[in-house]
Amino acid sequence: MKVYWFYYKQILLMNLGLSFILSIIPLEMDMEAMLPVAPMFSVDSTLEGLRKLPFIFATIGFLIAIIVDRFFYKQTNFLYYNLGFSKGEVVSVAFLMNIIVSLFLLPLRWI
Amino acid sequence: MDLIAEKELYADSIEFSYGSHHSLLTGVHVNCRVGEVVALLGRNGAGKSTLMKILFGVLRAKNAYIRLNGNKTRFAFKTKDICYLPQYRYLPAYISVYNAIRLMVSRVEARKEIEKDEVIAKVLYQKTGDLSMGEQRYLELILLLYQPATFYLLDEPFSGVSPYLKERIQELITAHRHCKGFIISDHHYHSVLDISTRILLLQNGGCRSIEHKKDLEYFYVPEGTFDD
Repeated sequence: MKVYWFYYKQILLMNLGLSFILSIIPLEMDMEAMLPVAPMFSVDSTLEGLRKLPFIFATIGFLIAIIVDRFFYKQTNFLYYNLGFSKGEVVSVAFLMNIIVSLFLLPLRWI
Repeated sequence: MDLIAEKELYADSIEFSYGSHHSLLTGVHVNCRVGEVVALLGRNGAGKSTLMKILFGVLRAKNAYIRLNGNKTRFAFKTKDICYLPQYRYLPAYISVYNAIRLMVSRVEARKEIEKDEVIAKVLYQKTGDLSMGEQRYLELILLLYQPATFYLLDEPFSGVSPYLKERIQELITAHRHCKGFIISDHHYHSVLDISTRILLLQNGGCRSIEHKKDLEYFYVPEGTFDD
């Protein structure tokens, strides 16, 4: 359990930061030009973004955090291997832990 | 027969290639028993690290037959009976030595033994990223040696290490030899040969057993290297 928690802690902060940024940036698409359009920040857009945070945290934020972790801490895979864990196992348990943590963020949906 | 003596890491017919053209390993055979320190030598790019990763079970070979203590295995690391010290650091730089010990070693007595170690005690509360190369290698090795594994694959344990720590690493390996088996690869061949009980030379995709280190002069080191 200690090893799973160690890995999860490593991506938790990254995931929180990334999810926060991704959720509050009010990105919209100009469908004709197929380009992202960034409207001005406002209290409403920020609140709207925060409502999406639990979902982003549980999905795309987690995925990006895993990719970033893989890029910066690739060599630490051997830490898990030497303790008898495959990276797939560690990532799967981290995903489940992340779902549980995202449930605690769920009240943000109703702000 | 003694159970420990029966333990063996055995691998043969290891074939590995990058792409379809460049064959790196062609039918390699290697084995290691408890009490042995096998020096795995070879030039850059001979496939030493690749072979170790295949034995450890984290790299898939085109063909490989690997047996650990009599049982055929594909992911040897999952048995927890084998450890691999990679060429590069495996501990994240932000973790302290103290926390790294807590993370990797669960037995309290073992933790205390490591913390009392002369080299580790000096750096116990430092971040691993702030340690010298030698201290990092020493820490990573000692953490592995306190795992319940029997076989150890050490990839360049002496590289970038000061003469004092080189000796300490040699002492560590020698002290654990009675209950463990080691395969060590390093370009600092003198450091490996000083403690090795057997020599294997990885060359042209295969493993050649070397009887006397003087014979290495025919294949690996300059002539006269081992003249007394």
